[in-house]
Amino acid sequence: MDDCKQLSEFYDAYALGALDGPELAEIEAHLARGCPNCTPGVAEARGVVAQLAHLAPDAQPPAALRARILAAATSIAATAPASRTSASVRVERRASLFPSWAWAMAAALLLVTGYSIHQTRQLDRQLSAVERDLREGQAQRAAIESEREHYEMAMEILAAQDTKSLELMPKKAAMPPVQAYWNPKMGLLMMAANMPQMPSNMTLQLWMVPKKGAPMSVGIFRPDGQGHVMMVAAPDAPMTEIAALAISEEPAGGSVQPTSTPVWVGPLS
Amino acid sequence: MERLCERDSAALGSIYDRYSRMVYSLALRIAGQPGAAEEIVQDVFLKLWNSAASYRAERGPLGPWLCTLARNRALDYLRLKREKQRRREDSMEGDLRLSVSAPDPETLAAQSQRAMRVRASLSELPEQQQRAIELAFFEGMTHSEIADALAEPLGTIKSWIRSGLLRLRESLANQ
Repeated sequence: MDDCKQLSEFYDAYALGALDGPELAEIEAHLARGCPNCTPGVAEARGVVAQLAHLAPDAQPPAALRARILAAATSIAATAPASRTSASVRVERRASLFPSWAWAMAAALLLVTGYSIHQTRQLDRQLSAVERDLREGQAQRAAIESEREHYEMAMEILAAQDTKSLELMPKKAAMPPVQAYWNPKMGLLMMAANMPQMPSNMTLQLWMVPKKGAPMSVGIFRPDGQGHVMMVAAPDAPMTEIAALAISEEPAGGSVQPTSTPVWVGPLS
Repeated sequence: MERLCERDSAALGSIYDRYSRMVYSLALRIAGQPGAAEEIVQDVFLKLWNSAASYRAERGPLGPWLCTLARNRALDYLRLKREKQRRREDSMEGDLRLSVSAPDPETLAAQSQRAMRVRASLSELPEQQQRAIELAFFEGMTHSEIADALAEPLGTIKSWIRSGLLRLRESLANQ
């Protein structure tokens, strides 16, 4: 089977991670030899398989995550160079030509300066603590800024003249209605109060029910401690193709298709 | 991508704004825990930040690479198999040079359209066939494991996955 044409049949399954047994061993051994045909073929298959990520229910990362990642990246950049420059490579090459007496002198110098380094490290630790506090402050400010943008977007959707409002009515007694506002250009805003608390292994999931075809996930959400919900999302489908919005209870992480009867439904008439 | 190599955090912010939702959704679907999904997203974007200087802009979109990396991390989290994680990362390094580039000019609308195409192409498959592909992609199962889980012959599972991915390829090619 050690032939590129035959192996090409397995690119997709290999990229998916589904191959096992002798087929997996065969293609891995082949790729390990750096095959110029199969290596790019598998890379291309990975790109195709990655598109399956679109099947995951849409979920909004927490606003604070962006600030946390950027703060961490800034911290890394401050402590490590971006890349090994050609100059640094040249220095390394020249270093290998140093005679042994030069190394001995360098070692002696290190001993002499050892005490100073000890003192400097203490100061560095204090400085690092101050810098860490500063970064945390910056991250908090960025999180607040992101939250503010979120609310501004919600206000813009509410204020726009071409925004369509609808009410999702509960199918269970003693549940509050959910308000939705959909603007074809700006997105979908969903708000509710007095929502029930969800167990940790469950989540609520908002769906678009198209006039034709299977429901499409808009996103997952959980009420906060006071039962409030506010979600802004960019639906994947035009409003004209959607018959209704619905909310169902799903396992944590959401589902590709609803696994329970919707608890709230609102027609988009 | 050049700005990323120069340690411009604003460039990382722009890439995050474009892809974080897709990466987070995928990580959450696989890992099932918001905390773990956040860690995976952070891991993915810091990997990009740290790797940016090791390659130059080549052809190919950044999104699939980020998704592949997020999926691998999430599956590793799911399985807790450190040895497997190292092997995957090694293979990912090779792909980085081949398939990663600066963010393409693809708009958010085009991303949404692609998402619809992917869902539409697979939603036409029989339910069990969809399930087989989901088990492979989101649960990291192999052909044999899926055959056991769905109580179907191994050959049937291979055929389902192969034809399902061919359909996906055709759908993407017709864009």
